[in-house]
Amino acid sequence: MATMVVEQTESPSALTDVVRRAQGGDVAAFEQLYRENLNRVYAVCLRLCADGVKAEELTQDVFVRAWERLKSFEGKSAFSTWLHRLAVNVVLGEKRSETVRIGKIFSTDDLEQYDAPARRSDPGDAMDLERAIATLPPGARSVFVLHDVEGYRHEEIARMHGTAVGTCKAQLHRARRLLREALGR
Amino acid sequence: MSHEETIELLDDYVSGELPEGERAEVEAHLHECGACREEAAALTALLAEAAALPRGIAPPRDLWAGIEARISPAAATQPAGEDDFKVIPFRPRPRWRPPQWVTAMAASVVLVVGSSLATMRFMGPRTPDGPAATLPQVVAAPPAQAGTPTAFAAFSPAEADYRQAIAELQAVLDARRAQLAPETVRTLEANLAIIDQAIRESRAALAADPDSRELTQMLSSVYDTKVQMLQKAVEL
Amino acid sequence: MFAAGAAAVLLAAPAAAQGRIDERRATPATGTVQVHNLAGSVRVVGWDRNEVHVTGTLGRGAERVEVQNEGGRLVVRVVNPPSQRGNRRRVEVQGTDLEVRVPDRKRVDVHTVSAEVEVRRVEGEVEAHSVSGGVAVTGSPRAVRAQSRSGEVRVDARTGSVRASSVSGEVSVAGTVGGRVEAQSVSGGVSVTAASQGVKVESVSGTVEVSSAAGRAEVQTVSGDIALTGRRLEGALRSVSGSVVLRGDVGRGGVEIESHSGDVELQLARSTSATVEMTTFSGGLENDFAGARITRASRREYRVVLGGGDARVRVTTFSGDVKLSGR
Repeated sequence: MATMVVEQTESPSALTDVVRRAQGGDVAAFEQLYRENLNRVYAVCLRLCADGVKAEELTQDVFVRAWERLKSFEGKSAFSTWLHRLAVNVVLGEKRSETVRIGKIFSTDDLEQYDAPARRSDPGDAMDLERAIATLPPGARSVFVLHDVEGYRHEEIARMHGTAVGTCKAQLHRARRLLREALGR
Repeated sequence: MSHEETIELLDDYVSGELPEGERAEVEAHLHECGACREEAAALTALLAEAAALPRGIAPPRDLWAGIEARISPAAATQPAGEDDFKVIPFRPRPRWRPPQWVTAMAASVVLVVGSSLATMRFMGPRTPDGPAATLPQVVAAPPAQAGTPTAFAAFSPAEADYRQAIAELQAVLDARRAQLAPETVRTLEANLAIIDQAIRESRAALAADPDSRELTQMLSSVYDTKVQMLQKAVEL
Repeated sequence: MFAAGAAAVLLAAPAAAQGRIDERRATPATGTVQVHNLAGSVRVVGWDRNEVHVTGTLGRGAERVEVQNEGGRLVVRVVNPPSQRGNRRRVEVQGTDLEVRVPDRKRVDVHTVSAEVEVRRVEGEVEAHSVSGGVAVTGSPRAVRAQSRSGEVRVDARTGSVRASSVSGEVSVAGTVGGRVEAQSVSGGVSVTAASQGVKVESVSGTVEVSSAAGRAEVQTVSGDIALTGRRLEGALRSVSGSVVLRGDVGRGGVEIESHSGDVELQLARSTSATVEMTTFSGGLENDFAGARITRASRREYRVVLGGGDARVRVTTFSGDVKLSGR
């Protein structure tokens, strides 16, 4: 997992035939790239935003963005690595603008409130890690997901978030502590 | 190295991010301190578990159609500017998905929370405050067999679609707000509030009576109205 | 669209401020005449000559009126000084009043910002857009498309089809329409009294009144009230909080009504032969229709048979009440 941190200096063979065709505007080739990478992109979106519906949206945004920027992919890393990085940027970018957008003009659905009772887990119902991650505060969650699940380094995460490495480390510490509490360890 | 200093560095230590010198010092302390050893072991276990999480998760439905609509060469070649909003994809949503859909949904399990329920759908909205409120919401098929979900549970994929359509349209509308007359914006706002109220009411009723097809239809219908109204609003 | 940048090839002699306009061009009987005028008024009237005749008064500050051929269309354009461009000086331009006579079989296309638009006696297709000006179309055009943002849109014509919309202005469609009528508004009221093959109306908060002699009516509003009046009514009416009133009798195609919290009133002719199937979550049913036979199909479903019970009326409300009466 941690290997993906490294900017893999693969030979330009990362510019596979499929990628090249997609770069040339071949939608079918791009669909193939989508199929190959969908689950990974969705997973990182889902874990970062902890909202299944939102994650679907973000996943679509990621692929649309990928299509638009496909030409800038030079094959210096694996396509999946490039795409993954793009996904993280899309999700983090979305989070930054979200604060501005929410409640800006139109009311958002308050659907959640009706699910509150259903959402509360039974006491004694052991929580698994996936769900526990979703309960983390957003900042701690994204640092944990990026660092401990996806294997990015603090320096990169700090850059992505536009914060200091120290802040990033503090968030990771907090995330790990909260997770252990949630998991009862 | 003191106990306090070690605690400070444990996070980096378990991640393997300490420079050689500090790492040796931490290890020296770990030899002496049972509490720190326990702490380090717990952290390592957590990390191992995190690293073992599946790298991919299949979304509950395929997302290609929505992507394809937005990347078609025709859309890509649209000139930027005022017409931008028109390239935002929108596909008509089915008002009610047939029950077969449910079976398909059951096949693409997103998340199985260590329980006997086979079909669970993770669609937890994130709210910033309070751990209780941020628990991922698991809309589960009814506690019956997976084959006979409630009308409400069966509606939830369609609802996700509606919400996505609404979010897309809402974003477009937000972006275009400045181009609309303030009076029009007020009218739209007031009416979206009316619709949201209707959604809340229908949804609360349905939550209390999840088997009701009528209520499901009503909810579906209000969502429909919202999508259509937004669709119209973005074309103003 | 209103930019005056392009050099005019065939243009009128520069008219003096507030001068009289009098321009003539020979033109084929068919094809398109396009008229652009920012402010003031535009009246287009069809006649039986193969000639376009532009008359009127040029507004103070406006430069001229040009009449020229552009890609096969005859374009009539009021040219204003390019104030927004080089010189920052704000130039006051008064509205120009134009009357344009066109061969009556021409297709007419009018674009204005605040100018009022009137189109009469044109038999080709008519398309008229204004931002804040009103739009009125009469006569017997092949088809009408009329649009304004805040102005009133009125169509009273014998025509093939009508699409009329306004954001905050009222929209009304009268006359006889061979095909369909489509009308849209956000806050303005919509009234369709034209006989037609079918009517489709969408509004957000505007009231919708449709009294159609024939055809199926599809109406959707959020908070606007809906009233459908006539004989042999057919269609689908949906509202969230607006009320829905059905007045008349029901045709074979039946009527479907959905409302969340708005009340639904069925004021049906005593001779009506229909079955009303009603589903409500918390709304009530009030019956004043003498001889109605009511059964409760389930906890939330009622069935009301009127006369022979032939036509079908389906009513669904969440909390809105349903009132049934004979008239």
